[in-house]
Amino acid sequence: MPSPIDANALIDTHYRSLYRYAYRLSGSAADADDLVQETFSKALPRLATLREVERAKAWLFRILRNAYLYRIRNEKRDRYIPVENLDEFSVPESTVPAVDSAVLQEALNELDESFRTPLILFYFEEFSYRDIADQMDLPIGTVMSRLARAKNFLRSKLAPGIENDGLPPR
Amino acid sequence: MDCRHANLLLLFYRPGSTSELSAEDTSALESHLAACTACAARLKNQQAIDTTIATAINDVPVPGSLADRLKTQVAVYRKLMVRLRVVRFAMAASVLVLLYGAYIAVTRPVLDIPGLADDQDRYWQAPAHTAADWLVTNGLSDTLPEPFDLQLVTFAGRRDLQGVSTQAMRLEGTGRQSAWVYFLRPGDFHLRDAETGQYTSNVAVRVYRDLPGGWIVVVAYTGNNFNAFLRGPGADA
Repeated sequence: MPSPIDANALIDTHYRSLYRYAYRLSGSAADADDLVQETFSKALPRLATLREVERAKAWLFRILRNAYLYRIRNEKRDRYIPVENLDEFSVPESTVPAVDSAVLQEALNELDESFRTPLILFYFEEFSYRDIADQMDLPIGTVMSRLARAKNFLRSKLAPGIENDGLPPR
Repeated sequence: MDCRHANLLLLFYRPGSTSELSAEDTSALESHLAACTACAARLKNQQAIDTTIATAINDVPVPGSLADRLKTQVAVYRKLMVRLRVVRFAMAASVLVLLYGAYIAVTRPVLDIPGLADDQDRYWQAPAHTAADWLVTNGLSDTLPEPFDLQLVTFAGRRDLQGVSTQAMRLEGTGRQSAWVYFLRPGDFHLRDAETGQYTSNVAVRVYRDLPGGWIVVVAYTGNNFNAFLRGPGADA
């Protein structure tokens, strides 16, 4: 049964945000390109199951994240620095200077995916905590905790001097 | 609310977008922020940080050709689906043809050679009796318009007459004389031009209408001697 949603219209609406998401997840332009193409190749055969165009964005983001997780399934988690001692609930006093995109990516790359994804979604596409929890199949409290830790880590990396141990969450 | 509590709630406070805090917490926090310059400054700082990071996170150049490549991918996929549907249709059609062939193979009748021989033998041994039985069986015994000599019958059954399946009887006389007797229903043909007469130098036709049961009988015979197909005076019926 053909989908009432046009695939080309879906591409026009979402390919940019999907690419940015993929880039910030993977840290690589080539990987981001592949991930977006993989996302649409997986979405196309299932387009008929998508009845509400309003759900397309979350649906596509979820497919992309799953594709990314599949790629990194064998990646060693010890490449990320532990963060047990990071203060979860501190609001920094210092400000963050203008951030270079590449420097930001380096900091994101140090985060485990489970912390990186909520951070990107929070800043990048203004997903609500509920949306992020749905994307990641996590309780909303867990998302909030991870996001708070990840935000503090990011601030510490981008604005040295903030009081924390500077270690990224994992 | 004290500053420590407000500091905690600030982490989840997103003014201007969907609130992550309950209405009660939001109201309490906003009251505190209105009264506490330190916490208000923290909020302002947090918002500045979030804006800076959000701007940087969004600073990802998207390849200009990506949309076209994705649309090409869609076009290729659609063509593939069309081909797949054609292949599936062809496979389904092949299966149906095979099933039909199998059905025909299973259900077609076995040629009954002994039966065939018996039928022919009956006409050879007792043509009049066999023909009379056939006439009775098919409700035609009262429709014979002439006293045909049933000893001459060599066939009685259905015969295709110009595309219409009709009951018919064949009589063979001496030499090469023969006659076909066709039994027609009123609706089988338009009969306005069907008249008795000599149609070729060898073949004459007789048409009998308004016979019992509404039947119409057409007799086409060769040999120019119609009486050759009739019983002689005093012959048994």
